[in-house]
Amino acid sequence: MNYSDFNEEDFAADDFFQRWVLEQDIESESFWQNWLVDHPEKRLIVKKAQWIVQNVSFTETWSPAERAAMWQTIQANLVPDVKEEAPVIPLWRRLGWVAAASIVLVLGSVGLFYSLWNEQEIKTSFGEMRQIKLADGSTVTLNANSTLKIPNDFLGKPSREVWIEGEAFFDVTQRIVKAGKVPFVVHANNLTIQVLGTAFNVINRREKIDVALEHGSVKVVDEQNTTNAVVLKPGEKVSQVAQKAPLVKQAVQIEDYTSWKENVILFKQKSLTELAEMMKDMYDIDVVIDNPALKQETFTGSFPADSAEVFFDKLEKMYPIAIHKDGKVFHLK
Amino acid sequence: MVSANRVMSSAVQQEDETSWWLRLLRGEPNALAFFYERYADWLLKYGLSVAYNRELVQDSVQELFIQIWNRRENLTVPQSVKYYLMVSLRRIILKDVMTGRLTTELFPDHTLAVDDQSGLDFEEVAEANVRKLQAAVRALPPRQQEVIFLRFFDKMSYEEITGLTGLDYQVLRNTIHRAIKALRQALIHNIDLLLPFFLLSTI
Repeated sequence: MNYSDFNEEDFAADDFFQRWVLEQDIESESFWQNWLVDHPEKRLIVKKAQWIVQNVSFTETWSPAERAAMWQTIQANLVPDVKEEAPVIPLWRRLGWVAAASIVLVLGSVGLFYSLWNEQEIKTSFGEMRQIKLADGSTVTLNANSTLKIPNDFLGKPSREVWIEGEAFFDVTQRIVKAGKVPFVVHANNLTIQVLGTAFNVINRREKIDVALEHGSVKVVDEQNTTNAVVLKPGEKVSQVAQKAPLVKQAVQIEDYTSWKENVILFKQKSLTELAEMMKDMYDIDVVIDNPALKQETFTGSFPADSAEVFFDKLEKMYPIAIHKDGKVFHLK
Repeated sequence: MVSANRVMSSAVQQEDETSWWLRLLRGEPNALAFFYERYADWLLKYGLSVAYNRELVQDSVQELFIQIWNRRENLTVPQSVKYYLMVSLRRIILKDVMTGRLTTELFPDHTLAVDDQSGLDFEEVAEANVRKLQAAVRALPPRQQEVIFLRFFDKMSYEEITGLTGLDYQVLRNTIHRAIKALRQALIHNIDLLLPFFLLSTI
């Protein structure tokens, strides 16, 4: 090897040179020190090569939050027992055809029982908020007056599926089995929201559906017309104002859709009509707008989710509105 | 002396890891957590050199730890846990890359820009060069990034690298040479700014 013809990249790419710089072993150390004494004119070139070899660095780290979230996903996917869990086979499948046929005959009376038996239904009342941990480690924060349905064999199917009415924030963990990743699907009426691992908010009230994505990515598909589909990026939302209507995507401030989890209701440029609907949906409070001119007025502000009273207080102080309570009904003038 | 110390500490670490690995094989969840704590960041760094896509590497690291646990009955004690984890992670990432999940994120452009470095002290000039070097490494094709990571950052021997990557020795040498050439090219306007400082230093 004739090192005297080497330029810095030849040195840096040379195994024996690298051993000196990286491993500092005795053999290469003494060789290179002596070589430099014999070739002082090469000193700067060697120094440059050495600098390159020494300064290759990879500085990436996980943030503590990422690290913790990953560990959660890992834990949620660990098989607790050494033995394989026996798959849960629904009763009708175990009994086979004849039984299935006889069940059909009595379905009218059994239908209700069957659905209770086959899925779990979690319901929040007005003004109530609840956090639910699913068997796969995902969390669902259920807003007031909302229903989440989870099939009993949630983990036994090729995809994890739940049904939502009302409003919920989903923080979905990834699930990986031998066959691969298990998708997570949220049904909101005829829309399906397909996810792998992500966090997003769904509002399914009054036939109108809103999906806002915090992070990750989701695909929203209209089951009645599967070409009606949209892929969301973080900070975007999609809404459908009525069944079969087109899916409309727009950029949003994601906090506007997720702050309720932290007990804060944010509203931006909402018309009084929309606010009245919200009060009805979440607190079962009837708001009547007596002055039609007020209906299209828009408001921006926030109030604590656990106190609707504060909302009316604020409204009264901020805007020239008279509010009076008549039994259970609030009148705005 | 330096290298004797390294051998010592790696032998101690080796023994320590073997006992943790045995506990993992017996089904102690703490043992999995131990290896996750110790290697999560390292595996991120390595994974990104195989495929520069944070989300993909994150998925793959998760999958790796899940697989280790769920298949622990079939596992043996590896000679080096770190090496075993790296080989396994590499396989998972490349499987995902093959199935077309990979989209390469580009390194932010501003780190590549040549900035005015006159009037800076050595620390500042060196730091600017290190940033350029990092950006240049990220701009290398994936295979080159990986061998640069293994040789220069992990300080693996050529022999270990051929074992891990399946590259032929001669191919490995050529790959490293090509990568170095590209890095040198990227630094061409900048590294000479370090020369006055090199002149003052002793090797």
